[in-house]
Order: sequence, then structure tokens, then C-alpha cells
Amino acid sequence: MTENLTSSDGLTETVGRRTFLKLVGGAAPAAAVAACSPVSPEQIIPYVIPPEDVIPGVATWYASVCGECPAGCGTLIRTREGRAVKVEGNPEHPINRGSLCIRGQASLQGLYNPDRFTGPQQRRTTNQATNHSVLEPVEWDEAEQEFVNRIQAIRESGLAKQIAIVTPLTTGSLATLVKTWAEGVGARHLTYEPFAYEAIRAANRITFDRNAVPHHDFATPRLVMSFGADFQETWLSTVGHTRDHSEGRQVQNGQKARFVQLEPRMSLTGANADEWVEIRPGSEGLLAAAMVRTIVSEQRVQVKMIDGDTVSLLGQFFDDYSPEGVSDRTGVSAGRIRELARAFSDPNVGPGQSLAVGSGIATMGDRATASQVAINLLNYVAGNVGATVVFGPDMNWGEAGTYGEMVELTRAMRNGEIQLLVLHDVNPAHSMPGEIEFATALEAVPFVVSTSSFPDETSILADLVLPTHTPLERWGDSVPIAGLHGLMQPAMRPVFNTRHFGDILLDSARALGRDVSADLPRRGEFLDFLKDRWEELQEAIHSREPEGDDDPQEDFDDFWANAQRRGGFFAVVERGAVSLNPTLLRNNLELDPASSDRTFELIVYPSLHYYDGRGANRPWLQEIPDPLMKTTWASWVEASSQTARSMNAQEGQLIRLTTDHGTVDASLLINNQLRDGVVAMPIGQGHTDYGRYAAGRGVNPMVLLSGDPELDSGGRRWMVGVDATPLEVTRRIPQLQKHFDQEDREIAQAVSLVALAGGEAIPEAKHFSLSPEHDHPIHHWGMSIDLDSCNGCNACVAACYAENNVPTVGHDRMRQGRTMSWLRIERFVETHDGRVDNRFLPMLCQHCDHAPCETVCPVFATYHTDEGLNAQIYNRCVGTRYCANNCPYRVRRFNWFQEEFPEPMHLQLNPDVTTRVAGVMEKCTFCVQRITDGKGTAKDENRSVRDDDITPACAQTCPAQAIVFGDMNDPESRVSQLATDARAYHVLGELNTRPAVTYLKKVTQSEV
Amino acid sequence: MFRLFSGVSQFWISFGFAGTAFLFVATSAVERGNAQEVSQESAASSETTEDHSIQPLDFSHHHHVTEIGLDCQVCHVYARRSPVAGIPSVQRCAGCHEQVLSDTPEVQKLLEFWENEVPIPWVRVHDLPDHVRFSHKRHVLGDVSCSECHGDVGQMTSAVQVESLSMGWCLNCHQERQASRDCLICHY
Repeated sequence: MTENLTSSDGLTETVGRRTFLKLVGGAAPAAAVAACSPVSPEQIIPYVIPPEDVIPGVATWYASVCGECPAGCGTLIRTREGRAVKVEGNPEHPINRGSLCIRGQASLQGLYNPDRFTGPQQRRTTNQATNHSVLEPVEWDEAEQEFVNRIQAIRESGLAKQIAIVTPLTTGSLATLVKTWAEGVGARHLTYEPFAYEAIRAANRITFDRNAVPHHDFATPRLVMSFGADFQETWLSTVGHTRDHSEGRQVQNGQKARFVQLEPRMSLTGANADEWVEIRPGSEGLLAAAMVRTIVSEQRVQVKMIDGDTVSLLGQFFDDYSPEGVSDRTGVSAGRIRELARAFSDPNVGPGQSLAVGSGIATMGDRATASQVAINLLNYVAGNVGATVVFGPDMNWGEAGTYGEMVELTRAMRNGEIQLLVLHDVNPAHSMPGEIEFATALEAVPFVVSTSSFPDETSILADLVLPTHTPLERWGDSVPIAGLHGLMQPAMRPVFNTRHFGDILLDSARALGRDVSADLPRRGEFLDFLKDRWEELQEAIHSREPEGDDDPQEDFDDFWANAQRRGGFFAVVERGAVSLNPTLLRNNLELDPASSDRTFELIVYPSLHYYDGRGANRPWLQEIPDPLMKTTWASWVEASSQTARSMNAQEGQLIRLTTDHGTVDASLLINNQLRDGVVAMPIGQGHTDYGRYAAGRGVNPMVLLSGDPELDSGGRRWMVGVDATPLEVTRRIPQLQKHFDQEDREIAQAVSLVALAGGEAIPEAKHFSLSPEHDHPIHHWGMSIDLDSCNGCNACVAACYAENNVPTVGHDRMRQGRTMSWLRIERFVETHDGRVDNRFLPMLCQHCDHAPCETVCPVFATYHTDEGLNAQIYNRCVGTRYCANNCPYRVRRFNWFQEEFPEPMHLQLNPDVTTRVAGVMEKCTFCVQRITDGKGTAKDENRSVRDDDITPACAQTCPAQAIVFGDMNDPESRVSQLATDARAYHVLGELNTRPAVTYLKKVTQSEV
Repeated sequence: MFRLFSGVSQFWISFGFAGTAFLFVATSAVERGNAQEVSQESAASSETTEDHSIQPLDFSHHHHVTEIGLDCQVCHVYARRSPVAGIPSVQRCAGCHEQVLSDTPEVQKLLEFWENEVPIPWVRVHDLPDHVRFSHKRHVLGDVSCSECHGDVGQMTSAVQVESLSMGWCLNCHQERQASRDCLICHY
């Protein structure tokens, strides 16, 4: 650049560019240095009175229960200086045994969500003419007084029955309290879970005369057949199921338990099956029936104590459903149906060695109950009932209300039959089918009270908001399976001005008078109520005289302290024998799915991340890519290439979907693991009011569904006929992986069971190296990842985000591919003879012994430590990004921007991990803070580091236990044993990077 | 810069001008940097000059440690349990001082903090940059005596920093004691 300057004689002169730069070059550093001023001294603030359980700088852990879904997994919450910073599974809890799913990890983002209600709110009309009103902050006293006054007035008019309280599925003490409160007030109580699995209960009533959801054992069976039940994603208790199933699928004696999934759209669960059978939507019952018929007719009935008459009645019951007969209606060949039926009831293996599950949300339509009855009978004839399908330790879903009840309530609301409605932590305005028009019905209720923690489509319509604590801030208990009492403890003081829902109920009941609160204690808070219930529990268990350790004989204070420490009290409940309901076989089962006039069939499937929509306001759940489609911050409609062609549509094009009940527009995504003629949409997005991360994002498929409940169960129908018209708009969905082809690079490898058993798996050849080897005198940290166990569920990714302060970058930057995740799950799809083989590969920094990134850093910010870690020193990094360029695994992330953590999300940050600034490189550190901590603990205890002392966040949470970490210098450690496993290999090993991460090949049942 | 001279000399004079300016500012910055290491600019001239005006209360380590005989960890209770040594809570001070010398002016100020439940806003004397992770526990349990880094605190009537606490200074001791000098132990 040149500047024109006037010299003393008035002529313009130019200063040459080079001279100018030389001057600027000298002055600029001078100016920069001059601008630096000494840092003003910091203050150091002591406690006034130090809290007992807090040592600043050291974490305190509390055992509790996760509240993100009704599964009730036990948690351990890590707190620092009174702030919850990490949630992990509780190893002592029988359901999840230390693992935790992606939603459990993201519960912190519910606790610290910046859009939560900060305190009670009351509606005030601002403009009488336009009827415009707003929610305004109000004090608790005033708010609760208003609540009590309103109820009082209604009771005095004799209309107590027109008060209704709706809660999610609640168990334990809070459930008792809600029930007692409702009875005292005279109100009706409903539980509302969008995923209530009504069909399972109804089918069990019909089949076994038991209104219950049994416990399912996924560990024992040699064959698991799932008719569209996504038991690794949202179906019932997914962490427990995944954990069991992963154990059951270990290769033993050259054998591997078989897993077959039958569904129209390959779910993540189905993606991990040995065989995915593509079926017509709604035909699950037909298939199960044909299988029962095969088993009976081929005399393979395994169940003991069954008389000949019943067997022949069963045969007759399903006589119309021969494999040939159902083949066209299901899309599965007769031969296949027979083969599966035979494998399911193999006399060589004996009874109770298989398991059939069904009633996945996406499968439930008009025939949901009947289909589940057929599946029940399939389990029955194979001798599974009482073995892998166990009544006795029943699941809490048996107590959930039905969708039909909620429809009835909505009708009553619309007709002015409800005077006051209390909605606790439910969002029917978003999750009920559009044609029910719940929001409109809500307007007909004169007074609506919300006790939700979050503003959402439902709570913002309330007249009074009494916000309550999130699960991390409150006392409570959870009984997800009969006998399993989990104790929920607050891990910290409430972040906002909220109250415990139980306290609101107790106080309001007392204020309403003795006739309402007669059955409730006169004094005390919910915590006291909880402790009383636990004292009763202790007595009840003790009086049953269980054996030894199961008998809680101690003083209540000790019992309570033990329960707090352990996370609950876990008693074993006796299995109950069930028998076939004698009336069952007298009625016909209608199994054929109803057809529609529309062109395609739409299935609406539950989301691993958002569940029923409740997870949409957590940025980790939005940002971490969908496990199958690798999309982020989006919703879409899926169709196969064939279906797309028949619609005349291209991927990315906006499609107008019309059903008999509503219309939405969604962008098209091609999914070839979806039956032709079927389109699919994920549930969970399309919020209009649920905070900054969820609002205005995607579409809500509930608009398209029928409002009519299924007759037999009162459940919702999740399938519907649809017409699809492409529009002239293209809106591509952000996808982190746009294709799943490894292109022969053998990144995610597999070996067939036969090859493995035959000892044919060849361990990798050692490579020669010119550079000197690194010395690892004391520890050599390494990791092993089992591709056979990994199911791609993303729990590890969320755990890493939580542990390591990894920022989320939002929709726009994700579209540009600027993800910051240190750990990603890559999905690769191989096809053999039309069979799809999905491989999920967790990819993280490999901590290579010959790291390509270390040699190219000009400032030595990344180097190899003597413990085998590839270190990244943030304060030394100057941001040349050459290291990221050189990394063949593409695991390094550069902070192009300074990402913010909006308050109070910053409270979640882990103080043991540096939060990086713009301009530095970051990547997986093998959780070096945990390594340092583990070594410190061993040093304190004057011993050497043990194998289970150090567990990185990813390994800690994995429900499938796929990741193992340890010291490769210790020959006894698990990671050392696995490194020499026949299946062991290194990704891109041929590059001679010598990674510290060993992968174990996936084992396929058939040829690779 | 005006073109006052011709050709090459123009360059060298301009360079000299800029270079001098740079050196001038740079050296004063270095001096200022040095001054930072002793926490008060006013104390730049002497390492052990104590400035009683910076702290909210005129707490004397000399009195409590040497005259009364309190060990460091009586007040800095977390030192062997945590990365942070901790500043004694107001409760700890009040524990004695509700009775002891409770009518003297400084103690009166202390008791006011205690009664109003306000933490005392001490000014930090020893501070490491945010990119350094220092663990008191490891050092205390490693038999590094407090005075090695904090100086003879028992003689101070107002706490001052006497050691440089620079990285080089830390590394010297690590070298002598054969502790790890791996970057990752302090910078992660």
C-alpha cells in the first residue's frame, strides 16, 4: 500500500510500500507491547462457613437416579464446589451397572439450560381488547396462594371432580404423594407418557391375564428376534438391555448368539443385528403368527406343562397364517419365516433360550395389540415365558396411563368439563397428535397450572407457572422394576428459584384444610415424606424375612445412609408364574394391517437423542450426529432412492406430506435401509417454544398422525397413510457423513465367525521403523475398542463433551463441518449378497507412537509423553494447524472461533479440564485429567496403579462396554490381553503410525 | 515518514527510529513484567517490602505463626488434600477471635465480616497463570516445605511473594528432585 503525503514544498510524495511496512513492522510490536498492562491482582475468597462435604479442588459424588426417561438408571453425579459437572452411571445399580446413555449424559444441559423458568410466573392480561396476556414473575407465596385459592373455590362449588392433574410416569414416593393429593382434593390424576407401550400391557392382559410389562432378559437367549422394538435406543430400558445384550453376544466356544431384527426401517438397533429383515409396516403380527403356526405344526413346542388340547387350539388359532399365506402380506419369504421359527424353537437348545420382542413405537398402528399377542404366543410356545420373559419383577410401564385416557381428558377440556388443570413435566401441546388440538382445548380450561421446569409449548399457555426442580436438584425415588428402589438425591442447590413438586403438593394440601390433607403428614417437607416411605419400605422388606444381606435389619438411619451411598435398595422380587388366559383362544385376532388410500405409508420413529421430543433443548443432543443418518440440528423425511424416484424428488428437496390428519413440509433424505413405498420421520423436533436450541427447528410429525386411539389398548397409532408432493424448494440437511462407503480402505474391519473359530484371523504384521522407538518406562496407556460390541449409540460422544468442555457450535457451523467433537462414531456400510453389514467405529485421537502430527509442529506444542500419550499443550500452540493437516485419522479440532457457554451452562464446565480459547488446537487426551487423578490416588494409597483405577469418560459410560482403557505395560491389564486378541488390528495400520488404540474386528455370523 | 533523506539512508534512519521506539517500549514492558512478579508496583525496588494497605485486614503471619505457633495447615486446611491450599474460612478466624483480642480494631473488622456473613476479600499474593495446573497436595505430600515456595512466611507481617514462581524456577526444583518435567503434568 502506498500513501500520498505532502512534503514541505507542497509536492505529493509517496512512501514506498516496503519502507512503510518496515516502519509499521517496527512500530507495531512496540505498540502491542505498550498496550499490555500488568494484570490487576486477583482476589482470593474464602468460605464464610465451609460446607461439610466440599473440599475445594476435589470432587464430591452423589448417588442418584436419572430422570430423563422412565427407565430409572442409577447415576453417580460428580460435583465440584457445589456444582454438578458430570453424570455417570452407578456401578451398583442393577439396571445400568455403571453405564449411561446419551440422554443421561445430557441431563446436565437440562439442569443448566439457559431458557429454564427462573421463578414462578403468573399470567396477566395486558390488553383486554385484544385479549393479549403475558406471563410475569411473581413471588412464591403469592403464586402458591393463588393456586390454593383457585382449588378452594372450585371445591366449594362442588366441582372437585373437574380438577385434573397430569404427571409423567412416576413411581415410588412421589407417585404415592400425587395419588394421595388427588384423592384428598377429589381430583382426577392421569399419567401421560407419549411412549406408554399400551399395546404390551393390553396384550399381556389378553394373553396371560396380567396387566403388566415384564422384565426381558437379553443376555441369555441364543436368538433374539425383535419385531421392530428398538431396545437399544428408546424401547423401555435401553441401557439395561444393551448391557445385557452385549454380554450375551460375546463369542463363546466359537459360537455367537444370533440377533435378527424385522422392521420396515432399519433402526440403530436393527443396524446391529446379524440379519435385518425388511418387512411391510404393521405386519409384525402376521409374521409372529406364521411362526407360531410353524412351531406348533412341526411339533417344536418347547413349553413344559402344556396339554395337548391347548397345543391344538393354538394351532387352530393361527391356522389362517401359514408362511406361504402371509408371505406377500409381510414381504418375507415363506422359507425365511420357517427358518426363523425353527431357530427360535430349537429342541437341541431347549426351552427359554430365545426371546421375541415387539411393540417398538414405530411399529404400532391399528394392530399393535393383536401383533403383540402373537409375539407373546411366540415366546410362549418357545418356552420363554418364565425364562427370558419374566413376570414378577415387572417394569413400571405397567402403571402408565394410556393415550386414550389423555384423549378423553382433552375432550373433557374442550367441553368445559375441566375447571383446573395441573400439568407437571408433560408437553402434550407438542407431543399429542395435531388433530387432537390440545393447545386449543387448553384454552377452554379456565385455570391452567404448569409445574414444568422449562417453557415449552404447553407451559407457556399456563395461567400460573410453579417451576419445579430438575432431577439433579431434588429428592425422590424411582421404582423402574418391582423391587428396585433407586434413591434420587439432589446433587446441588437449585440453580433457579424453583421448588420441589412434592413440596408444592404438600403445602397446598395443608392449606386446603384437614379434609384434603388428612392422609398426609401435618408437618415436614417432601424429604421427610420420602424418608417415612423408606422406613415403611424397610419394614415391609424385613417382614418378608429375606435371606442374609437382603434383609435390612439395621437401624433406619443406617439403612437410609446406606441407601444414599449405594443409590437405593435393590431387593430381588420373586418370579411369578403365568399361564395362558383361558379366554384368549376364544377370540379372533385381527392381524392384517389396515390399508390406506394414500400413496405411501409413513412411519414415525422415536429418536435416540430426543426421545419423544423432550431432549430437543439440549445442544449436545442436537449437535451430536444422529447415529444412522449422521444429521445434526435437523429433522427430515426419509425415503429409499426408489421411493424418491416415484415421488419425482431429489435428496434435499422439500416434500409436502399430507395425511388424513394434517400436512407438513420436510426435507428429503435418502435412506436405502427403508422399505420401498414407506417414508419415515423421526420424532422430537418441530418445537415452537422450547428454548433457543429447540424452537423453530425442524418439523413435528405428530401433526400427521391420527388422533384416534387403537381400540384394544388405548394406545396411539404411529403409522399412517401419506401422500408426498415435492416442492420447488431445496433445503439440504446438515450431515456429518454423507456416505457410508469405506472405499476398500479397511478402516472398520470384520471377521466371520467361521474364520475366527478356525483361527484364520491373522494378526497384523509388525512394521519396520527408521525412527527410534519411544521409551515408556512406567506406564504406557492404551485403549481397546470392540467393534463387535459398539452399537453406535453416541453415549461415549456425549460423555466426552461433558467431561472435556467441548463446545457446541450450532447449526450453521455444523453445516460447514466445524464440529468440535473429540470422539465421533463413523458408520460404514458393507453389503454382501444384499445383506447389509453396518459397522460403527468410534474414532478418536489414536495417540500414535509414530504420530504424524508431532513432527510437524513448529513450536513443539504436541509431543509424545513417556506414558504414551500424544500431548497437546494449549498455551504453547500458535495455531499453524499443520498437525491437523497431517493427521490421517482427522481427529484434531481447531478452535476457529471462541464458542460461548451461555449462563448458566458455564457451570457445567469441568474445572479439571482447560476450556480452550480461539486459536488453539485440541483433541482427545485419553482424559489425562483422570489419568493424573488415578495416579495421584494410587500414590496417596502407596500402591501401584490398578487396572480399574483410570477410566476415560467414553469407556466409563458405554452401555455395550465396548471401550477398555489401561496400561499396556501391565501384562495383566485387560487392554494388554485385548491388544493380542485374534481380532485385534489398528485402523490405517499400514501407515505405521503405531496407534495406542487397538480395535477388535466385528464378528459376523456369515461371510464377510 | 517523510522522505527527508535519499535512498539507503532513508531506510536506515527510519529503521533506527522504529527500532529505538520498539526497544524503549519493550524494555519498559519487561521492567513492568518484572514488577508484576512482586505483586505491587510500588514494591518494585525491594523484594521483601510489605505493603499493609493492600489487604482488607492487616493479618500478620509473623504473629500467628511465630508468636502463637500455628502450623500452616491449621488454617490452610486443604493443602495436603487438594490442589488448592485454601484460605481459612471466616469461621476459622472467628473461632478464636470471637474471644481473643476481640476488642482490637482489626479484629473488630474481622468480626464484622463474620456477623454479616461476608467472606473476606483477600488480595491474592501468589498467583499462577490460568494455563498452569499446580497441585498443592502433590507437593505437600512430596515433602516440599511451604517455605520453599512461599518464603519465610513466619517473618512476614504482611504476606508477599518472594520467589519468582516462573516456569524456569519450578523446573529447577523438579530437576533437582528428579520429579517429572513432562509438559503434560502441569499443562493439560
